[in-house]
Amino acid sequence: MRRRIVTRRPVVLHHGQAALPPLVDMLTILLFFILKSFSMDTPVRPDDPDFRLPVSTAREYVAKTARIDVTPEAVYLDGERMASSTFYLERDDEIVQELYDRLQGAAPRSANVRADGRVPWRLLRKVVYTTQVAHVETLDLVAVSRAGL
Amino acid sequence: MRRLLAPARSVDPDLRPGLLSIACLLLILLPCLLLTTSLYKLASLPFRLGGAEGTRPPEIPGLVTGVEVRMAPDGMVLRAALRTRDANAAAEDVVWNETDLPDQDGVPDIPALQARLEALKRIDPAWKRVTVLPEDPVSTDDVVLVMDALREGPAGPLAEEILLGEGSPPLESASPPDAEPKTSPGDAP
Repeated sequence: MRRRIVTRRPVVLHHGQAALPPLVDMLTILLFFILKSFSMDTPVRPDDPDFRLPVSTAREYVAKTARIDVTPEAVYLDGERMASSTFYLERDDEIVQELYDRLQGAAPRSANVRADGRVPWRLLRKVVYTTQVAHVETLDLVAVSRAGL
Repeated sequence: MRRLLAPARSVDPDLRPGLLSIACLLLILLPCLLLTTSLYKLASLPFRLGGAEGTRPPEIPGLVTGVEVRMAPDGMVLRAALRTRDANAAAEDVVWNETDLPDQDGVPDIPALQARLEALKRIDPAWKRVTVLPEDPVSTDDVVLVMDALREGPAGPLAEEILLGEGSPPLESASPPDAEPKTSPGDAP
């Protein structure tokens, strides 16, 4: 009788065993993807559904500092309405007076300008000039990063 | 004869408990992360103002002494100042090259702009400052689009420092605040 030297061990797949490694792989990939795009940034102006920040490829972290919001309707400092946008769009003033007065009082060294994407440069320039005249040293323009979900 | 010290039967370890625990951990972690994460991530675009001469460090002198991107409603104009290589020329002798970059289907021609900036970067790798001069009808969206294009091109980083605008009134001579502050209409407290 011929003896089998190499015996084949029967492969027994338990129910569900074959599906586990791909599942773990998929979950691990998902975990890394979510961790990479993880963000705890709160919505900008949640009470204003029409507000839309420009989209950018930048990835720099947004520091917590004074917030200057520029919308087509108004200019805000830390959520408080300072001036009407249309008023300053029509005027030739280079400085937004109400914002200047408040910045002089608060004297922040840096500020984040969160401008709606539709805001014309003419208004944004006045806001930026105002911060410069008020001795704000560091200015950042805030945008929505493409790296987000 | 029975072997007392018989080798143990090799049994394939059952991986299921380990894999199941990992899968369970991931299934707990993922919803927690999805619940706490925000749908969008904010990014900061640092810039300086064009007119604030005293607030920025001097540029390292190189072959490219100045680059300006003027944004008009119908396109961009790239102006680059290059130092002349003439041996008899003075250090401040520069030649301005101007390139019109009209919009393509209403969108700024970013690839053409980046191609020219990469050419400037090849001429002078130390060049890092660019001034963006938007005109009034240009929107913030377009300004950010061009700022992104100036910071990084397909072949790598381009300009490290972006100056926005032609500048404001000098800090000292800026119009002083009025004694009675103006109030814009509709700003009732």
